[in-house]
Amino acid sequence: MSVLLEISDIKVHFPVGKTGFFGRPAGYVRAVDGVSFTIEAGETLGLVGESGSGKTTLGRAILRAIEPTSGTIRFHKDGQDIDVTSLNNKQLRAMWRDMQMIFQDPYSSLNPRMTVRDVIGEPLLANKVAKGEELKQRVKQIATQCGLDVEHLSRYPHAFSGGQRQRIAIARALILHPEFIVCDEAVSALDVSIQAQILNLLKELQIDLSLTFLFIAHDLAAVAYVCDRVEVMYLGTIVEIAPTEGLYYTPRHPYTEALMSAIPEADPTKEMTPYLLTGERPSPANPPDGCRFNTRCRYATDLCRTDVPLLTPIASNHFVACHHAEILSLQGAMDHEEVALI
Amino acid sequence: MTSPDTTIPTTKEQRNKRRPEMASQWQLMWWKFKKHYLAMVGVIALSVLVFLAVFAGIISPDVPKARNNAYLSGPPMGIHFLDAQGDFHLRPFVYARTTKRDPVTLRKIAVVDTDTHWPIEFFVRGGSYKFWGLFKTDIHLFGASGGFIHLFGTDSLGRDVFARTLYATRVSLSIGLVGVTLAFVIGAMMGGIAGYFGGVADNVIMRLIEFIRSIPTLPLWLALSAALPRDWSSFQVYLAITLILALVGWTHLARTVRSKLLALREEDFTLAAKLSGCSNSRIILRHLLPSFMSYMIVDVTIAFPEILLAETSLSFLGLGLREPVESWGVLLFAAQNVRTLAHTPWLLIPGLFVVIAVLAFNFIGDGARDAADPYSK
Repeated sequence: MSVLLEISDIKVHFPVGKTGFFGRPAGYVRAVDGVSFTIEAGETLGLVGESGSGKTTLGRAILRAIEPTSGTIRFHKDGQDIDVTSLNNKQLRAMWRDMQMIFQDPYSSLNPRMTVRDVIGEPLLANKVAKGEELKQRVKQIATQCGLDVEHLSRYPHAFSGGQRQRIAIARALILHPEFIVCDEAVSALDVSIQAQILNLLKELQIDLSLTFLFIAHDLAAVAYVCDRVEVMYLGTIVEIAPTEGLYYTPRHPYTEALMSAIPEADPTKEMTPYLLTGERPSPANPPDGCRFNTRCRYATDLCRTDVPLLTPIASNHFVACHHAEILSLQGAMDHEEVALI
Repeated sequence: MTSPDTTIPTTKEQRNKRRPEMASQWQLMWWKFKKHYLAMVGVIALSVLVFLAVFAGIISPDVPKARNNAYLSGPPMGIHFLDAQGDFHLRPFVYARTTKRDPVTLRKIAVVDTDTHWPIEFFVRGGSYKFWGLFKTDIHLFGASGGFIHLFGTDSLGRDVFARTLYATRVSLSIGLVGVTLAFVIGAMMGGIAGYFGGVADNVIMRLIEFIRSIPTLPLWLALSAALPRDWSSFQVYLAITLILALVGWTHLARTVRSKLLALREEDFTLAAKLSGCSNSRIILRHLLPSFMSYMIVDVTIAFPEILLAETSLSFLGLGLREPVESWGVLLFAAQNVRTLAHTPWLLIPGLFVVIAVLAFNFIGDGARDAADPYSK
């Protein structure tokens, strides 16, 4: 497999508070604070973490829907090596034909004042790719592929359910045949039964159209179902990246362990013993020194409070940012036979 | 094509069948608006007023400047079907009027002569006027043969109050329309700049709006209109007054536009449009503008009576439009002192039109506000 995207040292800092009428910001929220990883062509990379850990911001920064404060993003396409961070507006618009996004809330991501045909066809019009009858045909084709009834294309989004709306949003993202798609919590707003349909649809489309996904989610079961590799974010930094199985069975970071223990069991009689984190998540405007997780980590030592751990390889394809990763033996998500059931 | 969504309805029943899933926002709004009873009353009242204003020339029995020296300060003349003897007449009539002097006060007073009837006839010839400024004609919808008819009475110069009120409706409504359009354009631009660019531009425009809104409006209008040269023609004054009203009235609209833009800018569908490759202007025109258009319409219907009332108050105070232009305010200007009120209360009838128009607009605004967001749950 070849590398599709190379993200190195991306930071997104938002100014907060003002010292005066036209004053300088009083501080910065470090939503994403120095994140580096690569995405391989054709894979699905999961991105998990609790609310406020910077998942969505990172996803948007990769597309430059939010301008990253610093860092570089390189996109490899047909032998070309494009530096996404240095593109001007016009080049960026062309870039977005290859990088798209599916949003969390299908109710706010579709303009209620446009028919489904107009919504799906908008990228074709805006990029002057197709219009008229050709546009209609292409909309029909992608809509069919996304499981929409072509007879409903003249309707408005308000006539559709959440799952159907998400299919419309997927069709819109796919109509220009992009290579890479950021799925920003693409299923979290849907019913569980619908979630499965949409996840299956994404899987099918990935094979048919050879897509690469960055799958942002907080539902660990959904992530396990679709992702080849998973990265875990905490407070703007990546604490662990590993192939899905490795991460779920043998987490190497204490934060991942806590996440895994919180996966709900499908068996109501089974007793759950989540390892609960204590204390508040520190503010990203004022992160703690050393390891960002040290304030809530039960294994933390003095070293953790002073030195920032770097993301280092610990097994094949398994990276972790923890000083004690070598010596800790952590609890995985579930037993092997249970995973086989998924 | 034969799919159910694309078949053309052929029978009346099919055409009337509602298809909410295929209804655009305007259709949904209209359906919601129609349920608002008072708003529909407002629409009807306003349509009547607009109809009267548009066809003022033909509906009024004479030109508004014509003086009837035989009937000065005459009270309204009622239309009758039954005469004094109780006989029914198929053709309606008014009783004839003769003038005589009051022996005590020596004032000329009109006396009703119930023996003589002036039957009402349709499409009679009278004073000539230019129909919509296009061609000269002297046809009037109705008139009394053998005499005159003044439905709302006459003023002290013998001018027909009915005709003057209709012509005034035309002027007053058009001032409101032009003023609101101007205010709409200024407000949309300023609000658009503030909302879309934000930062310093937003700060400056918002402070300017707060400054304008902090000035008491009446003295501000007075000061601005007092600055108009006295020798301007009535048309120039008319234009200047609309401009003044618009310059003061745009602030509310600008605020609405700004707040809507700020909210919509953060919507996912705006980001989706950006990622779809839309340029800024395409995002504003195709994605944002349709979303807050409905809210702007609400604001416009609410701004309308404000401007209407502003014009009326200014003219009433003698600082807005002046004779010979007819507007509701100008007509009411004549009814200022107690003596005229006591002797000729019918000069207040134009005030009734003001009330009807303002109420109609407020009702419509009310209904429009309820219908403005057809997607709200």
